[in-house]
Amino acid sequence: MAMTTHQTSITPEIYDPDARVVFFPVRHHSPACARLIKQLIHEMNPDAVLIEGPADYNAHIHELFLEHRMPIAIYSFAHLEDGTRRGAFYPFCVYSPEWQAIQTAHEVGAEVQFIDLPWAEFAGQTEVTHRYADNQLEESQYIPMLCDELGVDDFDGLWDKLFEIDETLSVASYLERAHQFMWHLRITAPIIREHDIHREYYMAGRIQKKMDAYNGRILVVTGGFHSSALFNRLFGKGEPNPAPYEQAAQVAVKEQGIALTPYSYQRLDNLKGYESGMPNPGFYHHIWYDTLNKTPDTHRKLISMVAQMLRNRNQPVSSADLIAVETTSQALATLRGHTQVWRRDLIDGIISALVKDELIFETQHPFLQAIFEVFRGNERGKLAEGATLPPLVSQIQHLLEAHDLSPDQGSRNITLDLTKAPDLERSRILHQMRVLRLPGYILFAGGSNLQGYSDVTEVIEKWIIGWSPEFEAACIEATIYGPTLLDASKAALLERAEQLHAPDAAQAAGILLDAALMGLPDHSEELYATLEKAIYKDSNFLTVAQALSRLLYLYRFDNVLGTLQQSDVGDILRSAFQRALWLLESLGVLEGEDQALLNGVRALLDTFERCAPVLNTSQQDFTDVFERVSKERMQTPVLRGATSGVLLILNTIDTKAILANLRYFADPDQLGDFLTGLFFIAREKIQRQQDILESIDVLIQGYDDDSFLVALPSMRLAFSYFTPREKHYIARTLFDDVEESPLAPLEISMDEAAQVMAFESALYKAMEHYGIILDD
Amino acid sequence: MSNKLDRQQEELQRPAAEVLYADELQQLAEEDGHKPRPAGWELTPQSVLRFVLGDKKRGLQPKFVGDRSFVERCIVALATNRGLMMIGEPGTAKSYLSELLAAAVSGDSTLTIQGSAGTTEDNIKYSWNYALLLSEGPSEAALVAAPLYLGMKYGKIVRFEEITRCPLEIQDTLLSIMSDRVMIIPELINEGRTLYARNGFNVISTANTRDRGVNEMSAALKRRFNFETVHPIPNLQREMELVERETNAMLERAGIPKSINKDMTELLVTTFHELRQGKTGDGQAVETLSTVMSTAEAVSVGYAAGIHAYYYDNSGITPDHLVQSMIGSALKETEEDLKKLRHYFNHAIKDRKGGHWKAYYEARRFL
Repeated sequence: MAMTTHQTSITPEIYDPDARVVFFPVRHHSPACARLIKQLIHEMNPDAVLIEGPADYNAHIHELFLEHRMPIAIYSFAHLEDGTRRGAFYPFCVYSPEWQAIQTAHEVGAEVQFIDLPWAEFAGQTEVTHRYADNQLEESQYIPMLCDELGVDDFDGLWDKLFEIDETLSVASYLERAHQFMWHLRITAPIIREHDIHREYYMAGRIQKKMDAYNGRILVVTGGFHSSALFNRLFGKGEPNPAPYEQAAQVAVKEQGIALTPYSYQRLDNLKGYESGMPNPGFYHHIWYDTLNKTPDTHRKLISMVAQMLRNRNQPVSSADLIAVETTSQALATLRGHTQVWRRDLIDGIISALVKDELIFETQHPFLQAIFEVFRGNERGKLAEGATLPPLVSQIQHLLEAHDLSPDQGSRNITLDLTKAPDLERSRILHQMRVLRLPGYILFAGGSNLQGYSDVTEVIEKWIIGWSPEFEAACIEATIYGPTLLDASKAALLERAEQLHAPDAAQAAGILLDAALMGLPDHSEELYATLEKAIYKDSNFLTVAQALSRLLYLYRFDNVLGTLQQSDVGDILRSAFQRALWLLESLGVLEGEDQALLNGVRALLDTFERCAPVLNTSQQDFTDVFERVSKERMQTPVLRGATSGVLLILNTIDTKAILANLRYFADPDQLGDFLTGLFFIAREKIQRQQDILESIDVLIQGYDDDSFLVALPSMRLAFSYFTPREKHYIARTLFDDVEESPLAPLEISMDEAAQVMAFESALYKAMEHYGIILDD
Repeated sequence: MSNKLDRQQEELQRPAAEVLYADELQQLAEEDGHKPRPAGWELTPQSVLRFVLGDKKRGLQPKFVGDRSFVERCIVALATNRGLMMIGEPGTAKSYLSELLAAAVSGDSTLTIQGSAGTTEDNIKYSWNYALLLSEGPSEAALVAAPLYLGMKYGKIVRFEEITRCPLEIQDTLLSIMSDRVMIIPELINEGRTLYARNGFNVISTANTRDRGVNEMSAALKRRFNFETVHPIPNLQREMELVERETNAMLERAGIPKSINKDMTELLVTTFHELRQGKTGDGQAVETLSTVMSTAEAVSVGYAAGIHAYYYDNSGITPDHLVQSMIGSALKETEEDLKKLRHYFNHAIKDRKGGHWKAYYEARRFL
């Protein structure tokens, strides 16, 4: 820890707005700072505006004057000798003080320069990669004391109260108040980090250079934490010089780069802990524009946005409710001494006037979710034409070329054998691209696409690689998630996990499976927890069963994918299995979801057959459940057929019982459904059960023409599970006179055949009616 | 405070908040002077807030531990045309907060309706002195006013405790009164037939979420209230301070010259806190009990332990007393809870450092 200078108070020169060099202490992403800086630059007309930002970007600084759609970020990355890759962001919103300083300085013709140490020079020494975060400010002991004094809950509330809410705050009073505030934060900070001292030393040097180069005035815009230190170095008693880096601590840089990249409010708002800065970008976005345009009552606009969102989600909100929100927020603002209704007032107004349920600790109420979404905003940045391409784009190109995955003009198919290391690597890259939704790459067999992947002994994936005109644009857009393919796809996946609101085990399992396919080991713990929770909260048999089949894949092929711990997968597989079994037993009647239901039953059976040792369930327990379901009177024929099929496979049902069931469902509009269930599960076994086949035959022979036509569509579905060879075998079992070769396929469609039969039957009836009898 | 009041107070088991904190209320009222405030209020909203949360500079005791913005919302709700409904687990100080608010806003926390299955409209609005009614006919003199009538007439806060314990039709008595702010007394012919609420009238209701389903509230009535969830105290340190303060205050009032010290408070509150949250301070999962582990329960366990220590052992409170009292006053529900508590001792407490923790672990023999 470095020494801080012992000063008992701040020198007034530091906040003199008429000094030659004005130090403007900002909180990053503060619209109040942005507004005042804009005003100050117009007033002081400086020769140079020096900004806390990576100095190695100065060569490209003209790119910031292009017509970008905000928010965007400067992304700087470093590849260190020890093999670590570290990237950092300097995000700019339209209301960022740094951004407004850059734009206004450009307008008045001042030189704009970044003065901070390039990221690569201290990348090895800090974990914080959001370079405009508040971490240094929030550590101080001074904050809780001041919060208590001013009657606010936290640092954000404190900042709002001191600097944001009062739109009449002048530059001079801002400078005085902010310098006082920031100086107190600095002297009470528990630690001044070594790399911060290095950065300040570097920044002071840069400022000194510009002071020598120009005669006119200079504006220095930096995070408030550094302002007093910079002033002291240049005009005051000085600050201790940084210790030279220890050789061991300093890791050499192998490669570094810097470029613009699009950003989004969502990403900004997702930053947590040390990485977090000002919250609720959407809120401050509206405040910025409304203050700029002198539009009053921003809060009304926001309330109506929240109301609109809630109504779109079918949450009832009446006008009377909105009036209550408005008056409550107003009253809270007054009580708290706010001159306008602010962030917390609105949140509290909604909690108070709209929410009529218990707020459960650590879970978010849908009404609050709506307001946080409005406060988050949905702005997404876009780079202007002419900006250097972000690094992700070229990184993806390199990766594709290196692994021979580049799209050609036409499309081609590739088959990957995941048991081979190079193919596994390629598969991971392709899955990462799939999660990022980059167009042109389609997985059609294997992986999480389980449909085409049931009975295989090797782990094969088949991909179609095609060229899409959207590809490059999509890559640039994907930069919003991160600088490298791995980082970006990881962020995209975690975002998906975060957006899982309703407990949906299938989706949670899909995400975990994707993480494994992408080769992401580090986040699996978090995803496990999400999945575990989803499994216990999800009460839908279909989604839990779908989760089960995904987990089964993961369990069986994890040794190949090599990302997770087999025993962990086993644990969660067991949870999903038991939950699905329980949900099956308590299942109501599901209409119109027959195929999903059948897949679910199949997943349970597969899991039991393949993973019995980890499931902690005896065959008896397992079959008991199916026996109960297969006898349930109210249950649909499909499910009863499927459960009978499971029992048949496990040899725990005798043919008599199946025949009894069959007779129970002899009704023409039920028989087909029952057989569909039975055949889907137990197709292999059924074809060798002559007695069952014969009974079916007898039943069908007994139908008159009308009944047969009623039964036909579902019967057709039921028999479609058999292969042509199997169908032929069945036919031979039933009729002796079937030829050796399989039945010739019908030349007309099934519907047409049915129509012909109906017509024929009507014709015979009419003939009979009129006494026309054909000699046969 | 006069001596007479002091003596009166000594005899009371639990004086009302406006009596207990009369001097603080007086001080705040003087400070407020003629500052603007919602019509009918004794204090400004700022002073109500200071009264509830305490203020070191003004020498006001902190009385309720909770988020500032939560208390602000409660106060603001009372100043609007909706009532305030506080919901939460039992023992989260809902009633206490409603008492403090009523005392600060109206200077009177005694207009209280206690909701139960047997609550009738008479208990809420008014009933009659039948002797007078028979001899003189219906008149205001024969009318026996209940809390709601009084609150409307004098412009004061009315407290309705445990509102969901009342049958739905009784709850709905409030409907027209909350929206029209008028009570019709059909028995009185001319004068006094309509009672218009004076400024300052409003209703604070409480309902605990464990009893939900006993009687739900109608959507119409819900609309007339702002709902606030009262959470258990999330901060262990603040909960310890509160439990220590309250336990010792109760012991003192009961005339018992024993007090609970920091170590014992730590044992007690940590246990309650961890069993409520389902995890220990270092993140280990523990089974939550079906009994409500509220701060109020912790105080009563501390109090019971103090009484036990004084009358039977004539010693200070020891971990043994705590564990024994815990069984009696906290674990009410099932045998299962006792098993879980035993498991908690065996797993979570076993390895804790410090003499009092060791002794506490030894005390598990009472379980």
